[in-house]
Formats: sequence, C-alpha cells, structure tokens
Amino acid sequence: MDATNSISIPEDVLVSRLFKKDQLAFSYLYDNYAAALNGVIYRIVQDEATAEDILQDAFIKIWNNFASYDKTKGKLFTWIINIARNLAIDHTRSKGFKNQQKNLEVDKIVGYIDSKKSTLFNPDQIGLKTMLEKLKPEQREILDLVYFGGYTQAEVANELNIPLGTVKTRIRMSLIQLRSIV
Amino acid sequence: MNTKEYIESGVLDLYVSGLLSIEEMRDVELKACQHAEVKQELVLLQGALERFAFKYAIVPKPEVKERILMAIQSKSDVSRIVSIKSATTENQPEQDVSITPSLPAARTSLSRLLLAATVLLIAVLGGAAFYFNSQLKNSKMLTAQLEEQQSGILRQVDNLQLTLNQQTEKVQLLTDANTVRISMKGTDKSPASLALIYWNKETKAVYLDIKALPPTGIDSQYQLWFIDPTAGPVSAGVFDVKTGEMIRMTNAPDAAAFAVTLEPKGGSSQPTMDKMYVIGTVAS
Repeated sequence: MDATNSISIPEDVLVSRLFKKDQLAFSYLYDNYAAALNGVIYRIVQDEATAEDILQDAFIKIWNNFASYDKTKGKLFTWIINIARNLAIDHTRSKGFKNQQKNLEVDKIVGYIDSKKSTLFNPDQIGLKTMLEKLKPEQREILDLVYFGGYTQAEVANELNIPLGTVKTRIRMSLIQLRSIV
Repeated sequence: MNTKEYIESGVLDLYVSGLLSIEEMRDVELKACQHAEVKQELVLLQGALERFAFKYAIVPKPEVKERILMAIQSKSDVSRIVSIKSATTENQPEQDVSITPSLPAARTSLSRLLLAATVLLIAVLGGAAFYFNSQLKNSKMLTAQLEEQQSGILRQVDNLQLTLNQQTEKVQLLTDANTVRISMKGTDKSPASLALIYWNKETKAVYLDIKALPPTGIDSQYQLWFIDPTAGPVSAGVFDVKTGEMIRMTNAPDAAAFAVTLEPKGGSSQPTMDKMYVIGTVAS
C-alpha cells in the first residue's frame, strides 16, 4: 500500500486532522485503507458490488462518527476495520442474505471463498500464498470463520463440531502463529 | 489472575477478533489501561491482524471514492451554509452600532427602540442557531452510539438463540432412547476424579459432563479420547475444566471406551497413557 503513496502521514497527525473534519486527511485515509477494508468486507459478503456498497457506508460512517473514535482504546485501523466488519456482518445477518446463502455450509463457504478469491487478489500481494501455507489448515479455517466470516465462537464450535474450549485455543494458536509470520 | 495468565487466557485474542460482548470489551480496555503488558500484547495482536487484512486487500473501483467524497461533501456544504449564516448574524449588531453615530437623524427614540429590538432579535436568532446546531451534533452522536449498541444487542440475541438451540439439543439427547451414559471413573493417579459421557449411538454425538477433575497448569489441557474397537484411541477434542456444564465434543462413530488424559495445550495426536485421569468402558 505504501508504494502507491509517496507521502506518509503519522497516525496521530492523521487522527487529529480527521477530528477537525479535514477532507484531505479523509482522502488519504481512503487511499491507504480502502483496499484492505474492501478485502475484508468482500470475504464476508462474497459479492463485489455489495462489498463496495458496504465500503461506501463504512467510510461515510467513519467520517460522520469520527468524534467517537477513542485512540486510547486502540489503533485507528482496528477501529475502522471493526466498523466495516460490523456493517458487513449485519448485512449477512439480514433476512435477504440468509436466504441467499441458505444452501452453503460452512466448510463449503471456506473453500468457496478461497477458490473464488484467488483470481481477485492484488497481483502485488504475492506474500499471501507463502504466508497462508505457514498457517496450519485448522488455524487458517478458524481465522477465516472468525475474522472474515463474522462467526461467533459458539457458531464456529457448532459448525465445525469442536468444543468451545478448542475454538478459543485454536484462535489463540492461530494469532500467535500469525504474529510470527506476517 | 496475574497479567501473564490474563494474556494467556485468550481473552485478548477474542477482543481483537471482535468476539466479545460490549461489557467484556470494556473490561479488556480497562485492563489495558491498567497494565502496560496487556496494552503491549493488544497492540501486537492488532498489528498482526492489520497486516493479515492488508494481505487480502482488494482495490475497489475508483467510482467508490468519488461517491464517498461526494456524499461527505454535500453534508459539509450544508454545515458550511449554517456556519456562514450564523457568522453574518453575529456580525450584524456591531455594524449597526458603528453606523448609528454617523446618522444624526436616527437619534429618535423610535429608531432607538427599533434598533434595540433588532439587536435583541438578532441575538435571539444567533443563540437559537447555536443551540439547535449543538443539539443536532448531540443527537448525531447519540444515534451513532445507539446504532453500535443495537448491533451489539442483535449479536447477543443471535448468541442466545444458539444457546437455546444447544440446550434443546441436550434435552433431546438426554431423553433419547439411543443415548447411553458412561461413567468415567478416576484412575489410580487420581481416584477422586469423575466425569460422565453421554453418547448417542444413533447420531454419534458425544457430550462430556465433568464432575471432578484437578485443575490444569497453564501449559496443559485435558483431552478426551474414544477408543475405537478397530482404530484404537481417537481424539474427541481438548477442553477446559468447567463443572456443571455439558460440553459438546467431537462425534464418536464407534467406541468401546472413553478416557481423559492430560496433554500439552492444544492437544496431542496420541494419548499420553501415564497421564490418564479417568476412563470408562461402554457396556455392550
């Protein structure tokens, strides 16, 4: 992402300019984070046009609600990604979406995203494949379901037919692994 | 619970994955404020997921940015018009006052009265504009907060629904004629231990009900095994000790016995026989 932007603004400067409703800062925010947000939303809703609609809603929400961002609670990216994820998850929990997805079971969805996704990756994100190969299949599966699928712990336990305690342990193991490889 | 145990409990991982309820999130945030190590761990986890998300980046169509900028532009135009209006009304009285002395004809009592009334009116209008503007800001913030609360509540309702389904399933399991109860008794290593298995021979579902098991260390976890008559011991998953709650384990297609061993955290592929805590055979 950095390659496309020659100027880099430190996060605290960006945040204080966004508090002042600086449109240039907002444009910078978009240029740097839109693709990552869009990727996450896409993995949840699995439709390009829907993802872009939700991306738009997310950025408008970020602009309008910036006053409620509390930097002591975490990084800017964590806050905006949660806005995007929550909007995407709320969408998948709406009736229309549920009907549309009724026949897809979890394990199929995971495979389905992967098979469909591969063609849409940024060509410059070559690191992804090697990174994912370093994660064990069950670690990847759990991250896909929890982080990109918007599933709750209990749902994951139910769908994968594994105990709740195992879900927790697996999330922790996956994140420890992820931390060492990305 | 000390800081290290708190970090290793996995609650921070759930926090960054967005899996906690609003109250649980507040608790994590409080802990992060109090302990630098917790805060540090959170930053590391958030950074890892951030980089993970960037790896999945998909560049949206250029129109999306245009649409967003247009949407926020039209909103700030409205607020700019409001602020221009209030700025002109606030300037008005000063101008009027400074003009008045150069116009001797205006020094009649009637015009003074009119002037005073105008100044008063303008002041009232300005005040009202300011009041409504701040009210508007407040209600916008309130709406945002309520929206966040609502989606949190919806998620909780979903969780409750799921819990209810699981409870219903348990009742069905317990009353099902195909369900057998296997009592796993403590081995010599731990004679006081006891755990029950409810195994439905039809659906193959396995539920574990822990009556008594000694607490584990941080680095280890209990693992349930079922002994397949032909394949030998097969893992039915790891679990944390929680009494008074039935835990759904991995289905067992065929089992001659069930046993629990203590294994390194995350479980093993083969049971460690000298760390077996309870065992029970299935009556044929």
